[in-house]
Amino acid sequence: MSEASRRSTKVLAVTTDLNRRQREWFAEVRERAAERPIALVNADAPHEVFRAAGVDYVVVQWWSSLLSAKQRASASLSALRERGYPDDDEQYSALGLGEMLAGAGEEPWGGLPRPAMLSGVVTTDGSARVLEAWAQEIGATCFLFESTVDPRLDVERRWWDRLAHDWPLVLDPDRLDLMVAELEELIGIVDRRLGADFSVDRLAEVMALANEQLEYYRRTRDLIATSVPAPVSVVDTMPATMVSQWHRGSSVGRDAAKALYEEVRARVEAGQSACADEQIRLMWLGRGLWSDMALYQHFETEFGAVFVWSMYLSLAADGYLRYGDDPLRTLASRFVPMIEILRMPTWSSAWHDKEAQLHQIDGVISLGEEDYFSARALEARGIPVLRIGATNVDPRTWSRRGLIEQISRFLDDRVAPVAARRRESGR
Amino acid sequence: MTGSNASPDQILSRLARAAFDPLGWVETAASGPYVGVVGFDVPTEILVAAGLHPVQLRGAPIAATVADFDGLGLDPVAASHVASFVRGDYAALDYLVISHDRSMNAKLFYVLRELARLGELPQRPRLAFVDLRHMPRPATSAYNRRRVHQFAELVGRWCGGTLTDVDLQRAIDETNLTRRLLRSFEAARRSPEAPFRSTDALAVLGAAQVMEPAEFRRAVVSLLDGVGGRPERGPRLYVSGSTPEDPRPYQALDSLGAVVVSEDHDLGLRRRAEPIEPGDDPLGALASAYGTPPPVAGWEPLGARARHAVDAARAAGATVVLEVRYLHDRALGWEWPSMRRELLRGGIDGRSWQIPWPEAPEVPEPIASLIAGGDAQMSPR
Repeated sequence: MSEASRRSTKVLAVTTDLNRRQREWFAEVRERAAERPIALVNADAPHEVFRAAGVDYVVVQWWSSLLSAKQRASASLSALRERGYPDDDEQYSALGLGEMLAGAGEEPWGGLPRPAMLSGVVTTDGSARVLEAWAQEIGATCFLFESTVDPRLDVERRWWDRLAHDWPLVLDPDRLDLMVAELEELIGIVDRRLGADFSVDRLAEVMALANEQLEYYRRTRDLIATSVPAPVSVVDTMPATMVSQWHRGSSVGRDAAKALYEEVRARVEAGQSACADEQIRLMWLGRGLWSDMALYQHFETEFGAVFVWSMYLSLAADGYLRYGDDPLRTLASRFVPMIEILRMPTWSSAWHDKEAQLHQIDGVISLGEEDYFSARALEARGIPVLRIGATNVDPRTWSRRGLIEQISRFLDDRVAPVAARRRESGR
Repeated sequence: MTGSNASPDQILSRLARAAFDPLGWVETAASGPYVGVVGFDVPTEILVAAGLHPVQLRGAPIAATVADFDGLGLDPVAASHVASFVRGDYAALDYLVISHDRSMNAKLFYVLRELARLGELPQRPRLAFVDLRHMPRPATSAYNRRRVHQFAELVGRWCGGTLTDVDLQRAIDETNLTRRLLRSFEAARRSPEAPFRSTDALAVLGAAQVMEPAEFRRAVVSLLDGVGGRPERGPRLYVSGSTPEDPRPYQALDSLGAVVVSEDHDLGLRRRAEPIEPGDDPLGALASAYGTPPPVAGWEPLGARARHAVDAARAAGATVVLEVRYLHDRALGWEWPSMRRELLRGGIDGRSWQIPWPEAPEVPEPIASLIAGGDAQMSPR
C-alpha cells in the first residue's frame, strides 16, 4: 500500500498546521546544525536541560515515527542487520541508527543532522546499548541516566492524583537525589562539549512553560473523555500531542497545546464529532501505528468505532505535570517514575484502568504491550481486551489486512455487546 | 561426602548439584535460614553477617507454567522465577532478594510485588529488592552506599537486631577466603594440563554461590588435591555473554573436546576475583565492590567490555572468544558488532552462539568445526 493511501483524514486544523510547522522547524535545525552541535535524545530523557541550555535536540522516537510514516522502516531494519545489530529488538529506538547506516540518501525531510551528543535513560539494557552503539558509530558523546527502582513493597497506586504537587511525598528521595546529581553532571557536559550556557533561571522558565502546556493537555484529555460522541480521535490527538510534546517548555509547545485545546473545545461546543454515528469507544494501548494512521479510521466507517484514547495525550495530561520550587529536583521528579507509569505493573495497570473508565471505553486493542496486569484489570471490569503481539514500527510483524480481520472480529464478538449496554444505560 | 574420603568425581557431583539444582540442594542441606538470590550484585556478605544463607537461584525450564504469564514482558528466565514462586517451589526459602544487575530483574520485582498485592503469591519467601547501579560516577556510588545501608538495615530487622561492623567484617573475611580459593582454582583450571572439564569448572564456580562457605572450601581443596591432569584435546575458549542458567552449553563444548579456560559472565570470577578490604567502613566497601565491578557483559561501555574480553582471553591463553548468548539476552546483540571489531583488531578468533533457552543447546556446525580444528583461521563473524 502506498504512503498516500495510508494517510488518515485529520479533522483538526491544528494537526495539519503542526505538521507543517514541524517540517519548518526541522529545516531550521538542519541549517543551524551546520554551525552548532545538536543532541539526539530519547523520549524519556529530561529534554528540559537542553532547552534551558539553548541546544537544539531531536527526539529519537519522533524521528522513528517519521521514518515509519515514510515507509523507511524495512530499509532501516535491513541496514541494522547487515551491520550485525539486532533487527528484532528496540526497533522504535533503533530505526534512526539503521537509517543512518543505510546511507541511501532517501531520508525524509533532508535527513537527520549528525548529533554531537545522545542521551537517554537506561530503561532497558537494550535501549541503552542502542544509544551507545549509535554514539560509537558516529563518534558522539553518550550520556545515560540510571534507571532506578523504588524497593518499597507498598506504593501509592493513585499516582495521577498526587505526582503533580505531592511528588516529594510519593517518590523515593534517594532516586531523586541520584537523578539531580546526574542532571548536574549532564549540564556540565552540555556546557563544555556543546558550547552551551545552561541557566537555572532559564530552566525555571522552561518548567513553568511546560506546566502551562501540560495543563492544556489535561483539559483536552478531560474534554475528550467526557464528550460522547468524541470530538476527535487518536488520528488527530496522537500526532498533535507527539509533535508538540517534544517542544515542551517552549512558547511554541505551549501555544500548540493551547491551540489543540481550543479547537477541540470549539468542536465540542459545536457538536462536532470524529464519527457522526459513534457506537463504540476504543482504547489503543501501545505505540502509534505511524505508518498506517488510516487504519484507526477504518473502524469508524465499518463499525462506528472510534479510537478515543491513546497514551500520548493521556500521559501528557497525567504523567508530566510537576510543581516545585527547585527546578532541577522538580525536573528529576518528572522522569524518575516515567518507566513505572508507562510499563510497570501496579502503576501502569492502575492508570489504564482509571483512564478506561474516564473515557467510557468499550474495548481495548493492545499492540505490542506488556499488558498482563492491565488486561486483567480491564477484563475484570468488563472491558474486553484484544492483545496483538506486534511492533508498531516493524512492518514484518503485522499487516493491515491481518489487523483489520482481528480487530473486526473482536469488535463483533466482544465489544459491540459491551458498547450496546453502555449506550442503553445512558452513559 | 565432601571430606577427604570422597573421590574427585563424588565431590564434583555434589558441587554440580549445588550449582545447578540449588533448590534441591537446600532441601537436603543442614544449614539455613535460606535467602534465595536472583541477580549477581546482591551484597551477600550482609546476609552472611546476619546468619542467613544466600543461595543463588537459576532459571527453571518450566515453559508450560511460564506460558500462563504471557504479557508480563518477562524473558523466559525471569518468567520461570515468577512461575516457581507462584507454584510454591521457593517455599523452603525464608526470603527472596532480587538485584538490579539487568533491567529484566527490575521488572521481575515489580511483577512479584504486584502479584503479592493481589494476594497471589505464597507467604514465603518474603520479597526484597537491592537497587545497585553501575555507571562509574560519584553520583551512582553515593546512591549505592545509601542502598547498601538500607539493605543492611532491612536484613537487621529480619533478624531482630542491628548488624554491627564486626559482624560485617567477619562475613567479609569469610567470603574473602572463598574469593582467594576461587583464584587458586582459576589458576589450576588454566594450566596447560587442565585437570577440569569446562563443566566441572562451571560447577565449582556456581557452587560457591550456593553452598555453605566452609563446606564449599573443604570440597574445592580436596578436589584440587585429588584431581590428576587431563590432556587437552580442543582449543582453549574464552566464553563471553549470557550467564548460563544450566550446564548444558558447557557440556556441549566439553563433548566436542574444547576447554573453557575463563569467562566474563556472572558465574565467572570477574565480580569475585578480588578480596574486599572492609577497612573501617564495611558497608561502603561492599557498595564499592558490588556497584563498580570490572567490565561484565551487558554493563560496561561497549568498547570497554570488548577490549577487556580480548585482554582476558589472551591472559587466559585462550585462542577463541566464544560469545554464548541466550536469545532473550537482547542487550548482548547490540554489543556483538563492537566485540567483533575489537576481536578483529586483536587478531583473536571470535564466534557467536545463540541459544533459545530453555531448549537444549546445539553447537552450530561452523563453531563445531572450529573447535575440531577444521577451520582454525576463521575470522570473527
